[in-house]
Amino acid sequence: MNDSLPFWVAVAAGMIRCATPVLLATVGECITERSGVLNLGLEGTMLAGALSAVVVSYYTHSVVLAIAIAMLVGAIIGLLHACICIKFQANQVASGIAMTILLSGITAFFGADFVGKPIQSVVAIKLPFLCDIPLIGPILFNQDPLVYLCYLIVPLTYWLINHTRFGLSLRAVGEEPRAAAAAGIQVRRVRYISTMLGAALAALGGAYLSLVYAQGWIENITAGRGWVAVGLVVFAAWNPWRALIGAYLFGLAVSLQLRLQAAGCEVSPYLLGMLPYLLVISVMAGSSIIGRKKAESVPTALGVSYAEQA
Amino acid sequence: MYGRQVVKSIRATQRALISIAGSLVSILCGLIAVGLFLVVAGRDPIRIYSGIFTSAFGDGFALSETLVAATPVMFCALGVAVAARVGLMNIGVEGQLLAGAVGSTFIALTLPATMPPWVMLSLMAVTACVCGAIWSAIPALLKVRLNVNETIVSLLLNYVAVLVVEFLIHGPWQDPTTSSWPQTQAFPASAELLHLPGSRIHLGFFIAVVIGLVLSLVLTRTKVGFRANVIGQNPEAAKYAHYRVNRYLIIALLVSGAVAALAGFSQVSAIEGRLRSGLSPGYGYTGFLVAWLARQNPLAIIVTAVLLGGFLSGADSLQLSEKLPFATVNILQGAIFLFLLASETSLKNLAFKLQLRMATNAEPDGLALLPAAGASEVNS
Amino acid sequence: MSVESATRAKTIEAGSVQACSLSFRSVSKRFGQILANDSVSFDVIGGGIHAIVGENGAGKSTLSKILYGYYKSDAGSINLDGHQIVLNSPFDARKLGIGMVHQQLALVSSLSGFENVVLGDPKLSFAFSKTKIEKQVQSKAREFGFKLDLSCPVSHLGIADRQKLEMFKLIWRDARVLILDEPTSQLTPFEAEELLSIARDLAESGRIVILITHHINEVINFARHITVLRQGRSISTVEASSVTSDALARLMIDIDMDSFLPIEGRAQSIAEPLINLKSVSTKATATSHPLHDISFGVRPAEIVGVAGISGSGQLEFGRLLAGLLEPSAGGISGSIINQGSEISRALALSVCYIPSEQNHACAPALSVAANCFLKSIDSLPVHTSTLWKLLNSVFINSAHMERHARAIIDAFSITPNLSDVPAAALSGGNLQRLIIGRELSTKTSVIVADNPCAGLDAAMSMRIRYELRKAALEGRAVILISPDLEELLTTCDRIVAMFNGRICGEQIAGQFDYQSLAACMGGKS
Repeated sequence: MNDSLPFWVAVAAGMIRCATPVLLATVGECITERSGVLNLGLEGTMLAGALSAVVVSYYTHSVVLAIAIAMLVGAIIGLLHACICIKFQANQVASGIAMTILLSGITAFFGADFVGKPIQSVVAIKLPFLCDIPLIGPILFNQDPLVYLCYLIVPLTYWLINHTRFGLSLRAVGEEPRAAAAAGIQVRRVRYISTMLGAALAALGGAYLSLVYAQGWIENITAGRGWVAVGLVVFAAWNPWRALIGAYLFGLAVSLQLRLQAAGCEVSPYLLGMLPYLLVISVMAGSSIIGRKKAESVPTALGVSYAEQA
Repeated sequence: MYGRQVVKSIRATQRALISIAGSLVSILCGLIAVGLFLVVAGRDPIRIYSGIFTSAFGDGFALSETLVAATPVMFCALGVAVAARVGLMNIGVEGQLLAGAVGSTFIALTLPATMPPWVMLSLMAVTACVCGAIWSAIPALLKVRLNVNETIVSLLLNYVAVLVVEFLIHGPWQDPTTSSWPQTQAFPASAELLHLPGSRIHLGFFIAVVIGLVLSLVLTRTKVGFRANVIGQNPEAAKYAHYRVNRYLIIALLVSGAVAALAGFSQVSAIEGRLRSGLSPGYGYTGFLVAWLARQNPLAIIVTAVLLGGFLSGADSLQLSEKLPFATVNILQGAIFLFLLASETSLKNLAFKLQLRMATNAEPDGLALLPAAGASEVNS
Repeated sequence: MSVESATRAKTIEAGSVQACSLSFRSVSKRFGQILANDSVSFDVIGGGIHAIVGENGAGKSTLSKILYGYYKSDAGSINLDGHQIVLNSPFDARKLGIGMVHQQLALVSSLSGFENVVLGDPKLSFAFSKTKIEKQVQSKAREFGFKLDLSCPVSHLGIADRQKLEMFKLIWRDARVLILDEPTSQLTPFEAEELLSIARDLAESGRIVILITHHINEVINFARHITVLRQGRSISTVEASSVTSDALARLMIDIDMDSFLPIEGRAQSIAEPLINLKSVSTKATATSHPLHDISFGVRPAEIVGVAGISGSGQLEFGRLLAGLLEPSAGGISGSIINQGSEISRALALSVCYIPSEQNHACAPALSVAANCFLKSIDSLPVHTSTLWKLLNSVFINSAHMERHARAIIDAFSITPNLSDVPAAALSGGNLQRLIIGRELSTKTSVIVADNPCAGLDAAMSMRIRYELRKAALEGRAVILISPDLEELLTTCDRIVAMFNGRICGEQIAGQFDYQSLAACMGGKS
C-alpha cells in the first residue's frame, strides 16, 4: 500500500498478505491428510468461505461475525465431504473435485448479486514494540489481526498434532487405521473431526481473501489457491512449519509478479501470472526428489477408504 | 455348455443394468436436489427444467445444438477414460483441450491460406494431438519418475493453459483489426471443419464417435487393453506378471491428452473459427463427470456425452431467456456427481452380492462350501 | 535364562492380580454356510498357559474373536468369574480386562514404542508431555521384565520385540485375560521360546493366558492345559504333561495321512544348474530388505527349501529368482539364460512364482478367467494361417481364455467353478488354489513358491506339497520358501537357511539337523 517503501519491503509485506489464505488452507489440509483423508474440495471451500464472509460483513458490518460464520460454513462443507468419503466410502479425489464444481457453481450463482458491494474493511494494526525491529518489523508486525492469528495457528497446529492425545490418535489413524482401531480409537470420528477442522481453516483463508485481500467478492476469487494448498501439503511433508515456508514461497511469487506489473515491467502479465503455479509444481517435484532418499513420510492410509470389520 | 454361456450373459447384463440404474438414479437425485435449491433461491424449477429440456431436445435445431455441445465433452470424457483405465485420474483435460486449440491455431495462422483443406485440417489435428500430449506428458513424467500426484499437477496446469491462451490472444496473436477485443484473427476457409449442411454439426462429432468405438474395441478385446485393465485394477499384480507398467502409464496419459486436445481442435476449427478468450466454459470438467457417469466405458460415454451436452446447450439458451446464471450448470453437475459417488460403493457391493447369489443358485454342482462374502477372514 | 526367568517371576508376583476364571458354554457361530464354531464348551484353567490348538480352519481364531468382542456368538455364553458376559464390541472386552495380541500385529510402525503403548489409552490426558509419559511407560516395562527400546519408531524393532511390545501394551492396560493369537508364526524357534516363557510367567502370576496355535511342540513344552478344536468342535481338554505330541496330532487332524505320504528322496542330480547365483547382492529400499553375497544354484528335478522368517530376506530371494528384483552386484547365470538375452526376461519366461502375498499375484476385481490369463496373454492356440497369427497377436481370443481358465478350475477344484465371477468372490483358500494352479500349469522349468500353504488347512497343504513333489519328479526345479521348518524337513531334498539377507547354512536330505537349522534361522551360528 505504501509507495514510499522500498520495492523489496513492499514485496515482502505483500508476500505475507498473499501467503496467508494459502497458509491457512495448507495447514488445515495438513491436519486432514494426517488422518488419512484427502480433501481436494479446498478450492470450493475457500470460495464458500470468501462469499459467506462478504455476505455476513455486508449485512452485519461485523468482521468477527463474518469470520465465525465463514468458518462454520467451512466446517459444514468438511462434514459433507467426510460423510461422502467415510460413510459412503467414495473415491476421495473425485469427491473433492465434485465438491469444488458444486461450490464454484453455488458461489457464482449467489455471488453475482454481491459483486462490488461495500463491506466492512479490516485495518492493519501496528504491534507497538515489535514493529520497530529493524528490517523485519514493518514487514511482519504491521499487518491486520488475521495475519497475527495465522502466526499463532502454525505453532498451535504443531502442538496439537504432536503433543496431544488427539494428535496421537490422528497420526495413528492416518498411518494404520486397523492398529488404531485395535487400540480402541474411533477411526471414523477422528477423521470427521480432522476434516471439519481442516475445512474450517480453509474457509477462514477464503474469508481473508475476500475481506482483506480483495476487499469484496469477485467471481472465482481464489483462482486455484485451493489446489495450490493441496500441492503445498506434499512439499510441507505434512508438517505445519514447512507449510509456512511453502506458503510464503507462493506468496512471494504472487507478490513479486504483482509489484513487477505495477512497476511497469515489460513482461506480459499473463506470463508473470503463471509463475506461482509453476513454482508450486516445481516445489512438488523438488520435494519428491529429496524425499526419495529419506523414509516415506506420506501418511500410509492417505486416500484409502477404511472399512471397519464386523 | 450352452447353459453356462447363457447364464454368463445374464450375469453380464445384470452388471450393466445395475451400473446404468445407478447413474440414472444419481442424475434424478441431482435434479431433485437442485430443484429444491432453485425453489429456495426463488426460481421455478419445473419451468427451468422444462426449458432446458426443450432447448436441448425439443426440435431438430435443439438436437443439433446438443450434438455440437456434446462433441468437445465427448472428446474430453474419452481422454479421461483412457487414463482411468490404467488407474490415473486426468483432470487436466481442460488444459489439454486448450493446448490442442493453441496448436491448431498455430497451424491455421502460419500456413498459407491456399493450402488444400484436407492438408490444413490434418496438420491442425496432428499438431493439436501433439500439443495435448505434451501438456499431459508433464504430469505423466512427474508421476512415473517422481511419484508426484498427477491430479494436482494437471489441475494447476489447467490454470497455466488459460494464461497461455490469454497471453497469446493479447500479445503475439492478437487480431490487429479488432484490437479492442482479445482474439486472434479469423481462420482461413480451408481451416474450417466440414459441417452437415444446414446445421452446426460438424465432422468432429463423428470423429469423436469413431474414437469412442475404437477405444471400446481396444480396451475390451485386445491384449493391450487387457494389460491396461490389470494395471488399473492392481498395479502390483501387473508388475508381478512382468507388464511394462511405467510404459503403459505414460502412453495412456499421452493418448489421453491427445484425445482431449482434439476437442480444442474441433472447437476452434468448426465452431469458433478463431482462438478467443473463454473458449471452454468447462468442457473438461463436464467431460470428467461424463466419464464417471459412464463408468469409464467408451460406448456409454458416447450416449452420456450427448445427454450432458444437452444440459450445457439448454442451460446456455436459458441464460438469455430466463436470466438463469450459467453457474447453475455447475451446481447441477456437482450435485449429480456427489450423488453418483455416494452410491458407488454400495452399488458395487450390491452387484457383488447379487452376482454371488445368482451364481450359487444357477450352478448346483460343488457349491456347498461357498462362504458368504465377508467371511474370507475365517481362514484359521 | 533361568536366573532371568526367576527374577521376572518375582517381579511379576509383585504385580500379580487376583485369579479369575473363564469358561465357554456351547458357543456356536455360523458364517453363511460355514459353521465355524459348533457348540464349543470348555473351562479355561489358570495357573499356566491354556492353549487352544487345532489345524487351520478348526475355529480357534473365530473363538478368540468372539471372546474379544469382534463377533457375537449365535448361541451359547461365555462366563467370566462366574458371571455371563455380554460383549458387543472389543470396547466391552477391554473394559472387562480382556486383551488380545493379534496375528497381524496392531502397531503403528511410524510411532515410537511408548506412543504405541499409550495409544487409545483412556487414562491419558488431553495434553501430555512426551518425556514424562515415556519415563512412566519405561519404568513399568522394566518392572515386568520387558527389555525394549521404547523411544525409537516401531519400524526399527524386530518382529520379536514388536510381539513383546504388544503384550506389554495389554499389561499397561491392566488386562487380566490375555489372548495370544498365533504369536510365534513369524519368529525363529529361539525367539518363540523367549516369548512363550514370558507368557508363562504372566500366566503363573494369576492372569489367564490363552495361547492359540497350531504348533504342537510349543504347546507341549509351554502350556499347562490344552483344548483341542477340530472342525469347529471342542474335542477334549487335556493336561500338557499327560499327552504326547503324536497323540495330540491325531486329535487335531482326522484325515488319512497315508494317501499323501511324501515321495522317497532321490539321489542328487548332477545336471547343470538351471539358475546359478554368484555373490548376488541387492540394495535395501524403503520396502525391501537387502541381500548380501548370495551364492546359490538349483538343478532340474530337485526341491530346495529356503528356511527363513519374515525379514530374513527370503521374500526378496524369491523375487530375485522370479526376475522381479534387480541385483546390484554379482551375476546370475544358468542353463535357462541364453547368452545376450536380458536376464529378467529370461527369468520371466522360465520361472513361475507363487508369492506370499496373494494381493500381489491377482487382481481381485477382475474375473477368475482374467486372473488365470494374467501371464498367459501371449500363449497362442495353434494356427497355421498368417492372418490368424496376426489377429491373435493383437486381439484376445476369448474362447482360448475360457478354455485356459476352465482347465485350471477343473484341475484344482476351485469353488465356485465359475470363470466370470470376480476373483474377490473366492475364499482365501480357493484363491490360493487358483494362483498355484495357474503357476503350475505354465510348465516352466523352475517353480518358486513363497509360503504357499500359509493359512490353508492340513489337507490342502498336503495336496500342495504333493503337487510340488510331483512337479519335481517331472523334471522341474522347485524352490520352496517357508518359515515352517517342519514343512521343509518333510518335503525337500535340500534346505538352505537364511538370516539377515545371507544364506547361513545348507543341509541335504538324510543329514537334516533341526537344531542347527533353527540356530541358523535365528542368526546364532
